[in-house]
Amino acid sequence: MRNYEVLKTDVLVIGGGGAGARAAIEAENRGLSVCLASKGPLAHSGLTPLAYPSLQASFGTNDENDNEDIHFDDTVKIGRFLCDEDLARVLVGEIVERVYDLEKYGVKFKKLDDGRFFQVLHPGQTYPRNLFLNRGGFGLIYGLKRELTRHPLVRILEDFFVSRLLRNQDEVVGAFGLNLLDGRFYAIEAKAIILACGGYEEVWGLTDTGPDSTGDGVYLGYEAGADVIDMEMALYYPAAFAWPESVRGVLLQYETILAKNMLDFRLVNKKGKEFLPDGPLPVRDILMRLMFNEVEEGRGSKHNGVYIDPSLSSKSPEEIEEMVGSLLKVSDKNLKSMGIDMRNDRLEISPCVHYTLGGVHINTKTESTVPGLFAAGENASNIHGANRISGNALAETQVFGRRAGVYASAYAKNRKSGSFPTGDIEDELQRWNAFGAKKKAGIRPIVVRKEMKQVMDQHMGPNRNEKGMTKALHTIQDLKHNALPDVQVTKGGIFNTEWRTAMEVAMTLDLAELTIHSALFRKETRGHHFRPEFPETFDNPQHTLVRRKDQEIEISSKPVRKLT
Amino acid sequence: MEDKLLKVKIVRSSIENKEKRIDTFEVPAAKSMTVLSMLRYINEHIDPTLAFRDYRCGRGVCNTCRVRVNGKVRRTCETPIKPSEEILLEPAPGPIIKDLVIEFKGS
Repeated sequence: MRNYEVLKTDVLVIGGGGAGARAAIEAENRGLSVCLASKGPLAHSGLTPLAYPSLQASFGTNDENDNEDIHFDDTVKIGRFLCDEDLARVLVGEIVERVYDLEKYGVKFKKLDDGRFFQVLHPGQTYPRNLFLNRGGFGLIYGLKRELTRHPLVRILEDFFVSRLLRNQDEVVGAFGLNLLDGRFYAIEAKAIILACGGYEEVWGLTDTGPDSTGDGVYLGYEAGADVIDMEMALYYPAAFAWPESVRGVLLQYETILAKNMLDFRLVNKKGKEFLPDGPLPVRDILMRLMFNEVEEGRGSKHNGVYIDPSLSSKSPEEIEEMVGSLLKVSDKNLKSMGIDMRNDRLEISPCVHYTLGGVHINTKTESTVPGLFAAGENASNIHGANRISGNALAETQVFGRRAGVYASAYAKNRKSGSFPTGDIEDELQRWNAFGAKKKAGIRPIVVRKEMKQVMDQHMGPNRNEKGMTKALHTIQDLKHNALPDVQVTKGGIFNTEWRTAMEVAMTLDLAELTIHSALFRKETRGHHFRPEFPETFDNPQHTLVRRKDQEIEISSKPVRKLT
Repeated sequence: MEDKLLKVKIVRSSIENKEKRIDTFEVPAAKSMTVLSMLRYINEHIDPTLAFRDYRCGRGVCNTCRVRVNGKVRRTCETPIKPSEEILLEPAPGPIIKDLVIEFKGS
């Protein structure tokens, strides 16, 4: 008797955030059946609901000189020339159309009285380019979720965790996973598969992401043999609360709070002294370095951060009140309920891992190097390079989500169902069941996760040296080979989150290992990858490529695609 | 200083076993704890089988973390607990899957 269910679909989308939802809509528009598998409920899981405030598109509300060419130049330059320029070109060229799609789906943007988009300047933008989504990323995914109800060929599987892709020779033909809602395993047969699972932030400890951001799609792609690039590039957001504990990791919208023409609050060290250079607010890779520098040189706050000081602002209390009301309303309400008043309190903040730039390498058709396997959103790489401007993340979900829907549909239409690798399914069932087997000295998965996060924060943070990283690599390998086999959970049952956590820990240990290998391999300083031993930035930027060959990790470099 | 112990009652059930029971957990009432961080504490230190939705925005927008706290529906991520309180947690309105986890229908 088979101990798993079987489903069939034309296109399988894994991941229910902005990219996955947009891909599903597009594939269904082309008359294909779509299965959308999301690890949590749509709009209530993943990274998209966390995004704030919005995406960028060159509408040029404030300055008609803005256009997609300048958006392109900003993206490439701030990305420290590590992005594939063909991907960046697609991003800037299509986002305006995608914003109109979103409006058709009922997503609301803040508008001026004359109907034009309200736009603000974020660091790294030549002209004000960030739009303002009503309710941020949540507003976006909520609109897409509503739109999905108008696409009857999309079947949504929520609380569904995919742990393995199934291949027939090189081509992907399906996926296998656990449905938490009924506690049963499912094999899904598909003619094309889109990975849209977001990033792997939860490999680290201090993050502003949710606990589900475990890089499932990057792991799945790697495991299936796809080229994975630039894993060392973790992007730091400069401002999440470092303290108090109740709000630790909650993001503070520094682009609004610190900008001179907005709230104009100031960053200060423990002596109350400002430390940013004069001029416009620095972009993320530079700002986070300046902040960490204060901490490293002993001028940091008690919890290894710095402070935002509202009292030094040049703005009047009335002006501040008005801007908080119109731009930071939700955040203000949230913090108030926790007893924090952003207008008057000194806020203790630290940079934290916010976005991961590495992932499954795609071309402009969102194809990975594995036939039948596509990737979009944060799961894919490398659209941004070694640093990312505010506003390009939600933008990429819409542009590349739609493209994945288009090209995966075309692939699915030309493909006949092949035979299904039942042997791999049995292997995967065994992997799941092993967590439930009795161990001599069983440990809980969270114990392993905690150790992984600690060592990643300590040695794979913004300051990376050979010795520390090598140590981290040994620890991760030790956890993988000696601790993971001892992980023991009660298996089976409905909504068994600890069983899921055990599998997430197994996946993230592999991703941590890839990240450290990649970081050791990149012997230069670029964007968010800072190596004091190798302070130079090479003239000829290369991706760091990791690929699974047999059971081994193969590391090399791959040229960045330039436009001539 | 020793942390005071806080008594937390949680109403538990599941699709498989609809019969409700109330479990009482004793949690050290650290300063500035939220109901969400308390649930995490229970899950990590006392009972790994306690089910609640931990995937969230953390900024009071998405409503993923809503449960009934002493009878009122609250976002647990932004509900601080007072060390002297006794707390009763029940699932928010909706079809119960397990413990504090409900199915989201169109919201």
